[in-house]
Amino acid sequence: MLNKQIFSGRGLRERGNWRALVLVVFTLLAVGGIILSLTKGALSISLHEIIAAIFSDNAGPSRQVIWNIRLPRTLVGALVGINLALAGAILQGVMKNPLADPHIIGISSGAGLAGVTIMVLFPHQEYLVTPIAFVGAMASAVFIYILAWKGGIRPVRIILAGVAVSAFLNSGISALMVFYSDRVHGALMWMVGGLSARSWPHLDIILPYTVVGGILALLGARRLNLLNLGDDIARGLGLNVEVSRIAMTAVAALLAASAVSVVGLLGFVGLIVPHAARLLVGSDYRYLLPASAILGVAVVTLSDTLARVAFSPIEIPVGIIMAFIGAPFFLYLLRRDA
Amino acid sequence: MKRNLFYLGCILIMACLMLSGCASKSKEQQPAAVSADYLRIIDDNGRSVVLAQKPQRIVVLSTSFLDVLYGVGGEAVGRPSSKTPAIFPRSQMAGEVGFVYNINNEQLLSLQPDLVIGFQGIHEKLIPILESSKIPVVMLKMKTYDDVLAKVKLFGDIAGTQSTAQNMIDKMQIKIDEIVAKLPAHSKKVVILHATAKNVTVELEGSIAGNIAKMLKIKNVAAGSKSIDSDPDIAPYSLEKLVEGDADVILVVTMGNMEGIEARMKTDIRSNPAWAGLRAVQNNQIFFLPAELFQLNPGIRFHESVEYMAKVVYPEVYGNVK
Repeated sequence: MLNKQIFSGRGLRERGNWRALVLVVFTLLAVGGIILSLTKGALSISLHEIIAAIFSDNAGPSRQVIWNIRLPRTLVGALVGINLALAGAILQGVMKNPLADPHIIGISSGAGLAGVTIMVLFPHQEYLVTPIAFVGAMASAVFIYILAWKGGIRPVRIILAGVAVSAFLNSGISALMVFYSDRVHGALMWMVGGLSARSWPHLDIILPYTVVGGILALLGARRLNLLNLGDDIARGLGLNVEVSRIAMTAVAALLAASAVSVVGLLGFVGLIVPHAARLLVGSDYRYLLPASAILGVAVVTLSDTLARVAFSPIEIPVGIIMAFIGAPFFLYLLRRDA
Repeated sequence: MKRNLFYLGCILIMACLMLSGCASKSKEQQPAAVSADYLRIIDDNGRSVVLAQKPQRIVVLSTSFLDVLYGVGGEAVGRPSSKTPAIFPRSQMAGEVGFVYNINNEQLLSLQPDLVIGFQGIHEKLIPILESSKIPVVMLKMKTYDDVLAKVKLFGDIAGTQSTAQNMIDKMQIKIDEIVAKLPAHSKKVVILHATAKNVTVELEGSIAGNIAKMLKIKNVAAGSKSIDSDPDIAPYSLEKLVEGDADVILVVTMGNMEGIEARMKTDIRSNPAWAGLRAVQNNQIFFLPAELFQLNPGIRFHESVEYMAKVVYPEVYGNVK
């Protein structure tokens, strides 16, 4: 009932306290997600033991499970959620297209082809998957940008170039999977995206990008707001449209590439989380960016908890869970708003 | 949106696979010579296939079955393209019909087969084409030791070499019995990982390695766990449960060439704190199982797979590998 009132409270929505309320709710969800992710798992460990495991050094199975498996996995998931949601929110603003997500600037397909190539053709070099996937993601983003450049950048050209390049790279992935069908298992798991066996080293890889990318994104919020007014107005207000667009796309590419290279092709968060956030807090990027980031944390941590617990001890890759639950929820939000 | 549709599609396909997996489970072949017909086969999909005469032009669509057929003294005119070495060099003389997952229909039909042997779950889509051309086709599975025995017998019936087939079965059984007889009283606990340290996928009892572990009375930490499907072969698994299971030995089924993967994966596992806490990792009890014996079905070399695992898990009894 309360929910319904809030949804229909359009007058309230225009004001700052509506946004504050949504941000608080998102934060509660995110914190709840992290706590739930820490407390629930295949092994049931009491809250007391969990706290003891985090804050003391005593060895033992519960310390090993909490400190080396659950905690880093939860944190990696949270950071991945932040990165992908921010990247999606930025790209939707830069491209002025609701379908823009890390997928559209070639991040997923670039990382996908690079990663799958390593896993299928050079399985003994598997430790290279993360760096090579990162390089592949960035390379395809740059490539799409170059293709779309013609005396300036038009969002439509980027999107079309992105679709074409992605299709091209995806055909490469499919070809590898067909001809090395006996080795696709690892590649398949990676294409779906999952947090299994992620630990501290992966957190070290992704953390710098989240911090730097997050700060740059928030600094760029005003530029994104101006870009959304249209190129001419933005220029009139003194914004260098081309530079802003390239800079913000680069930030999004870094954020998404770091996330994708660590957990695989988790595409869903980048598309739907920013939309969900936008439906609730509006298009002002000063609020939309933090809201997306926090909602991203909540979505990934909650989905991963469900993925671990639902059929325990069997785990489902988190990508499947997110799309399965998230897509219908998103449609619900969409209908509700219309 | 496209991506989501893709995911949904995946899930639907998975669901279908699971359902079909349940439906066509464990149907025994009952080859029984009926009057004028040469052989009557109930395949693993429950289809009844009648061979009027002894087949002269057999096309085999899976490498595992090719080795079994040549093992019992049969011959094929067509075989799948493959990068894995065949046991019988003679079998390579047969014409290629494309990769296992991507059979070239025209090539297949141009060989004018009078029996096509496909792998259950892979080659079903060929059935309508072949049936409309009046070419008998059977879908068979081969995963466990019992499957292997049943297939050796069936192929002996097809090739008319029942005694060779029976000899082969006896030989394998004797070797396996010898190994099992020497098993130590105290059995070790193992976990069998599938291929990679990037994700945690374990092989359950239905897999080749899981089946062999069961024959050797090795406790598979992941076996017997309730799972989504009624009997999947491999499943993504909880690392936490592996910590709790506290296995003595970690076995890894590799895909493709073993050289290089082994050293690298050991380093990967040891440098990842999530893995490093497992007792088997700390005691350096990680061993690798070759793809040709554990990933692809060993078929008539099943006893070698059993011996390999016995040596890896109990080197004190059976001696070291190689």
